[in-house]
Amino acid sequence: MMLETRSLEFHYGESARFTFPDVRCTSGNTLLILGNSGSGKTTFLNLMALLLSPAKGEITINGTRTTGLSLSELPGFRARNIGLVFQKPYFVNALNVKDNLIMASYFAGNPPDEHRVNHLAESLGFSALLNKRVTELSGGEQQRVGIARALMNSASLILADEPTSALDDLNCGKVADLLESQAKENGAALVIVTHDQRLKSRFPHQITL
Amino acid sequence: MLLKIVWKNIIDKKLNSILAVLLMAFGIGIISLLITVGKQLQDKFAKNISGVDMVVGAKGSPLQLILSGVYQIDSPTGNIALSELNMLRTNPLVKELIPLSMGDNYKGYRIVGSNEKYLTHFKAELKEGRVFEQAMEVVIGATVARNLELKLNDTFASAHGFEADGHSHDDQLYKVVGILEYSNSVLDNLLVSDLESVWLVHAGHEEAGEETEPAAHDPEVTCALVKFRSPMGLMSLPRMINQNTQMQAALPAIEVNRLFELMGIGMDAVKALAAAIMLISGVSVFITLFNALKERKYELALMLSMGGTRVKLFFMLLLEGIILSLSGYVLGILLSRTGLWLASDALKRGYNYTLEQQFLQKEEIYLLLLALFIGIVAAIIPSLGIYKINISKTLANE
Repeated sequence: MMLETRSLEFHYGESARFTFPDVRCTSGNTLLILGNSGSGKTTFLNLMALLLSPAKGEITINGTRTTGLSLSELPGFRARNIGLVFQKPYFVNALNVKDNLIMASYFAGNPPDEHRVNHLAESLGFSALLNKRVTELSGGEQQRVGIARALMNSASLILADEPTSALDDLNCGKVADLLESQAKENGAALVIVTHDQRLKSRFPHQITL
Repeated sequence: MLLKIVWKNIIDKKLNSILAVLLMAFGIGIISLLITVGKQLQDKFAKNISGVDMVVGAKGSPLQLILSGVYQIDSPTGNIALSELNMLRTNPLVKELIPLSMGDNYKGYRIVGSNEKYLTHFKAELKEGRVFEQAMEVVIGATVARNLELKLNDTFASAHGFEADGHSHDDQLYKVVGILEYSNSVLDNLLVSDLESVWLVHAGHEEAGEETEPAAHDPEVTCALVKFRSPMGLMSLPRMINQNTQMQAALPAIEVNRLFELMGIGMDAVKALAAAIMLISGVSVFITLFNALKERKYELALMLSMGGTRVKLFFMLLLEGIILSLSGYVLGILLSRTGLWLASDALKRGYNYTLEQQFLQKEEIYLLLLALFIGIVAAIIPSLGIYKINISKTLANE
């Protein structure tokens, strides 16, 4: 079991309280979490990404009870185990595509692995773009680089926040395919949080908030 | 990798970075130039003054008398009678009196008529040859020998006045009998003969001009350097001379201090200006980083989400400021050295004075610390913003 949550709760002040259903996802599988805006799906993702800590409940990632981790252990644990894919893939704009990928291993404390960069670029189809600046890429290309970055450290859990909602139908399908196939290939569990109805029919394993 | 990110970010903001570096460079350059030039000039001035307690010469500006008599850079105030000077020589308060007679030059370098004491006063040592023994023999300074390529036994005609193209005294030729070692004093730029030579060259020429000799039988000199036997001399002699004789007495220590005070005001003003420029450089680093932090909020949140610690990113931002101010410092020192070289060139042409290129001065190390300090202070406030970034909010922001 790569990801397991149990009776998670989170409060923004007194008024906004969220309780989340228990979810589990094994390696090589995909879980789709659907929800409209305001349903707390981004909060749920932030909890699973360990960017927020829950008011109640537990998250177990790759066998580790994350609530037991100290604040200083969290960034390192996140870097090694979780790959994040954002709706708008943020990059360090001053660096080129390749350095943006290598940066992911740098912050995880891993040595720069050009092999991995080339391998991912090839399987995601952007080998020709490695030396370009990230700002020169199209939205679809950026999203593919974003996926590659999430995979750089061989994360056991890939969390994708609205990875397709900014893309057209063609790119949406491509990115969804890539996400699934890459997660499978790397033996990672994939959790997609989205309101994008186009993905609904694509992933059978789903939860609606 | 961290350095690469810092460097790429600096390059990415080329114009901002160049502005910050240039401002810092100008500030540092100006201050460093003032310090090195000021220091060298002061050194030279102090070295030439040492041992001279008083200068007597014709009435006029005391500063001019000092500049011409001690430093050989201004025109002399006029002439005084040797007989009057000799009365002073017998004064019990006077330990030593060195008469100087000026008026001619060779290719822009002054010929000074004096005696051997003038050479021993500067502790000058002969590199080759011997001291002048009779009229029309000269001992030349090291710089003169080098720049004019004069050798022992060379002869030349002097030119009247202090301009190289003055009237030439072709009928009397000087002969080089000795070449001095470098003494880092005025001697380096002088040709020294005995007093007789100067009289000889000018005997018979009663042309109009500031150096005109009125009567050949009453020899005159330009001025004299005086050393006192005791500080008592300082108390009474200058007053006595200024009140009771045709001569004027000037005290080098007082005049040079006055000169440096005058120069000091100008220097302080320029230094203040340079410090202001450095401060503006700091402000520009601050603005650059402050804007960068706003623009790069997402990048920073991203780095944090990827496992970067806040301390690490804080130092990354700080490093940007430090690198900018350090580059400014290095460029500034280079500017200052170039300026020094140009100033030395100009001084050499104008006054036959040279400045030496030097390694880092103590004050320039302080400047380095100051530049670092400005860089750090300017960078620290924006950098602290990293602790205010809320990762989940920033990254979720549409």
